[in-house]
Amino acid sequence: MRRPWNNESASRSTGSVGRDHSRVGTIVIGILIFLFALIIVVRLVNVQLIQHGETARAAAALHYQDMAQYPERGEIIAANGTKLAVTTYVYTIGLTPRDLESAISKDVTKDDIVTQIADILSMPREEVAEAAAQEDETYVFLKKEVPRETYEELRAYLRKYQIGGVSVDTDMKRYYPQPDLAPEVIGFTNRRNRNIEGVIGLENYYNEVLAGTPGFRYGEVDNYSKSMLYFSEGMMQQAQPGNNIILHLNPEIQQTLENELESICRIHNNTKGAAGIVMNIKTGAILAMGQTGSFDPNNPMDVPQGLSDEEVEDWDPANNEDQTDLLTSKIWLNRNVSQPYEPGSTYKALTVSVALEEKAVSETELFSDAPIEVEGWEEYPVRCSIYPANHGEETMEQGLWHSCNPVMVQIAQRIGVETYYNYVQAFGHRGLTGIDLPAETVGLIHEDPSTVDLAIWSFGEQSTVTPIQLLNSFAALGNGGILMRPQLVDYMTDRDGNVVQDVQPEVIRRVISEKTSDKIMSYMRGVVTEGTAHLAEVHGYQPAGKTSTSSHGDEDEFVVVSFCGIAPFNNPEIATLIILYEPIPITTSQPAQYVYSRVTEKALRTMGLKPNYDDRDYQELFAGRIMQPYEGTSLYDAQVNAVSNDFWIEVNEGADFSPWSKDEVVYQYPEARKYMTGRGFVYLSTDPNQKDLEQVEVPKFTGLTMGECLDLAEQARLNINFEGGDPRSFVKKQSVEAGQMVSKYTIIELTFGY
Amino acid sequence: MGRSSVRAGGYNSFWRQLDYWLLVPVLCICTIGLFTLNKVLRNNFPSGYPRNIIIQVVSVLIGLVLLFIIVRMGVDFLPKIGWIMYGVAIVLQALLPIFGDKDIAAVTGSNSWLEIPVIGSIQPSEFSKVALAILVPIILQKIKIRDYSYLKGFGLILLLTAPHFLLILGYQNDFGTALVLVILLAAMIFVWGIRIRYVILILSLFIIAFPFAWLFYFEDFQKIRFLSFLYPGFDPQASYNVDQAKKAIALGGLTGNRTGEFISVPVQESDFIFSAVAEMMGFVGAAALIILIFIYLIRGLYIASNAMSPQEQYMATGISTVFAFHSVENIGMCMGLFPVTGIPLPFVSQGGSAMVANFISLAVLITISSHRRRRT
Repeated sequence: MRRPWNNESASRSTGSVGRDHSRVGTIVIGILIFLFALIIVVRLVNVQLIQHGETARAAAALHYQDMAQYPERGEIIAANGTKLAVTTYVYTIGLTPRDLESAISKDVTKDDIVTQIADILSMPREEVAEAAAQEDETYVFLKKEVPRETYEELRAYLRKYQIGGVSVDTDMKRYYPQPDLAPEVIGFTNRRNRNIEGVIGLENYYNEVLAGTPGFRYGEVDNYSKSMLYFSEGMMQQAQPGNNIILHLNPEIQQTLENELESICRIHNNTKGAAGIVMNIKTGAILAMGQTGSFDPNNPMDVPQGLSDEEVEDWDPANNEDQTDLLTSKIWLNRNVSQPYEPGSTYKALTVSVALEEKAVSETELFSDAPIEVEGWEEYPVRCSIYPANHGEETMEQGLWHSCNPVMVQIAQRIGVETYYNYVQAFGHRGLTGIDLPAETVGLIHEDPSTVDLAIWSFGEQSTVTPIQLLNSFAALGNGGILMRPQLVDYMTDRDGNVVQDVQPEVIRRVISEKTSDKIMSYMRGVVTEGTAHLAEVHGYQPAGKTSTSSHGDEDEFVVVSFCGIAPFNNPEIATLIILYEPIPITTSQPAQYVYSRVTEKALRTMGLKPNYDDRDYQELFAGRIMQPYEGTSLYDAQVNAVSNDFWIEVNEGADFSPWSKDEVVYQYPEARKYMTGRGFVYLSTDPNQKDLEQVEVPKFTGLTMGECLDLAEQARLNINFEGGDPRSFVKKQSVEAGQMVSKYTIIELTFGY
Repeated sequence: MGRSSVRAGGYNSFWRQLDYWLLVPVLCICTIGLFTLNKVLRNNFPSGYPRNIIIQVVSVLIGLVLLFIIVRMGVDFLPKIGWIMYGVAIVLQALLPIFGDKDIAAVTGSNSWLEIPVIGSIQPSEFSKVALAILVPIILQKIKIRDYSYLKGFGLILLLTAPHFLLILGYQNDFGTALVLVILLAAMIFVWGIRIRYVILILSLFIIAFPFAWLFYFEDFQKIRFLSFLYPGFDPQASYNVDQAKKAIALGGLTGNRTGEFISVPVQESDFIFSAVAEMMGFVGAAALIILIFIYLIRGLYIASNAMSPQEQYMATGISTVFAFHSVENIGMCMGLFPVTGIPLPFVSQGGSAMVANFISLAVLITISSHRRRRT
């Protein structure tokens, strides 16, 4: 390195300025600065001029925001106007602790405010105080899903003292006012971000109709809450609220169906449950669709019934896949559309109708009920259910009445595999019915059926259909042979109730002729009057139908009993299917018939159809029934017996129904061996101290017809017994004068005559 | 220009002594700064507005008055200015632990702000820069003309600088200012003439010291800033400032963002002021600012290379380099070219004490310039 200072000091002394010394340094620094300036300018050109447009758009997204507006979800309304699903609002409460003070009163301290808020929101005071202490935060969350009433209370308080610093966010929430009513049909929703989506049932199927169209506001927002600035004039598209859907479903029929299913399951200690559908055969309208073991659509993730204590403790479906599976595959499952079953003997009605339509069998031809060996399946001869006590030689009609399997096998063999399965397809058993519900499944039916498959399917075993598939094909039998599409939704309205879409009944196809339809209806009426289904009788409405007791499992230990019927016989209106899954120890279809009878009667009465008693009805009703002796038997046996004899029982408070109950009936009213007719109410008591029944006023029966008497007696909770001559005449005399008070269920003797 | 001014009139006229190549660009920069700052402060700090912008204007005026006084005093008075600044800096920084502005410390994490009644908060370390920029060159010149031995000279420099470094790094935790001091000393020593092997030695020392500093000295936020610079997206929070600044710059377009909607950039009033200039005035304004800065810096270096004495050369180089470092780092940081440090843009960023200190530095440059021209 050079040593400039020698030179330097010399220069200084001579007065010349040493301009050449270490100029290099300053020049280097100057060049560096120049280079940096150049780099920056190049960069500036790049960023400001070249990337300007792109970045400007990105920046606009910060200032202007597309804010979604969520439409109000449409309602689901039952046929009678009952609201089944509505949209309500819930509120999320937060604090801006700094601003938490009263604008008008200095007396209201922050402590008071905190106490009040905690009180209104029913939160621990410390929690609110802790939130209010975070003065640096602009927003502290307090509580979510606050119901409207609580919010209104809070707002009233805040208004009164003009307290600032409490912020409220509004959220929509789906609410089901009738959570017990067909939850698996109505379905429920899930909230994703702020969007409500249907998960199952109608909520899911009609999600687009119900959801409406989200709107948006495109405008300038502030940087913190991202809410629209007041002066900003943004673009705006109003949210289009969802439409309401009005169902054919009738809550009264639905309620009866569900109650009857629950009670029959309780009586028969049936843990596998039951299901049923009521359908208008002329339009395909579903009037009721129910099953036991429902969930609460307001809290669908709650612990289902029937779990062990340990399972209840571990209940956390959000994190447990098995539990989620349980919910989706069982608890939320709509058995009627999603769970195929072996229809059993109910299918025989279809087999016979095909034989009639194809004229494969003469109506007078006799068939043997002896066990029959099907070629290729010799080791298991098909037998009648009451074998070895055979029915002997029978016509096809009698074979249906008595539900004889060998007869059906012979008929089906006459029809032939190809023709028979063409009808199976025509009845809609190879495809979906097209009901407006999600997750509909198809039963399993042989793709390439053999003669053995044909023989077994002729009495409804080994292949499966869903309940709605079977019911729909039965409806076709009653509807002059025309298969309809089952429908839940009647019409749709906008928010103001104007009809926006009317759902028309939809014909799928004609399956059998009207003549065959009439014939099979009379055959099925015979099943009730002459055959296996006497308990299915509904006096005044004359149902026609078919019973079934199908069994599966290695040793046929799992029994499914069902009844599918159409009523009234003369002018068919509704088809009803009742299925009881594995009721133990019952092996007859009687409980299903009993439920069918009650549900069908309720449905027809609710629809406004007057009973029309025929000779048989008059005869049976007039003859009455003998009250069974129940005193001394166990309560469980008593109730099973009462059900099979079609008595309506009431039991004293605190009695134990269960099969292992040791409670004995010590008192019954009316007493045993009395004749009575109509509903046949009976009070059973296991407690000698509970004998007194409430008093009711006897109405005036004189001058009324039999049907009117039956209705009146039922209303008054009285039993009646008919005396005298012509049942088509009028009541001449009643054993207890009108206006007198008697215990309820007292038997009033009514004497008929002119 | 020099020659024409010779003809135009006597050097005794005060106005003729002023170096307009320095003063005019700086006053233009101040004008741009005040214009931009006015908008930024009004938008971002409406609660302190207009008090904050008035303080800034007053600082410029105080700076100008001080500048005239110092220039008037002439070059012989510079060492005294240096010692006064030195004293002021040391005393005020020594007061920091007692009168430090805790509010600012809580927000910025730096204890370098002194709370003074009536005036407000000032940052005394700004004066350290001026003091050392004047005093160290005097010693360097004495070494050069062999008044002092190397040992004595560098001993004195160490003695002079150590208290500042200790206060700034030890107590105030202000890495940015310390870095500026290092640059200042390095530039002056570089021009003074240092053997290349010493440069290599010092650089290696820095490289060796870096891991230790990383482990034991740097705060987390400083490490994150550095890492975010090396790896954009390392910490979204740290890159956020730069991203926003870049967006703001881009939005300026050719002639400025006229939509009335400005991007929110944190600390836009000081560290990210350049993004505000670029957004408000566009490429035209930003380029003009860069050119103005370039003019006065090159003029500063020109003065340095033509200084009358080595110490004046060192002073001018040091001051110009510090200005250059500030400007380059600040602008580069806004555009993501350099890691984020809390270094303001001279004559533009908000900060009264910095403005006054910058004007004193400028005064030193002008004094040296006028000294040179009087003698030529």
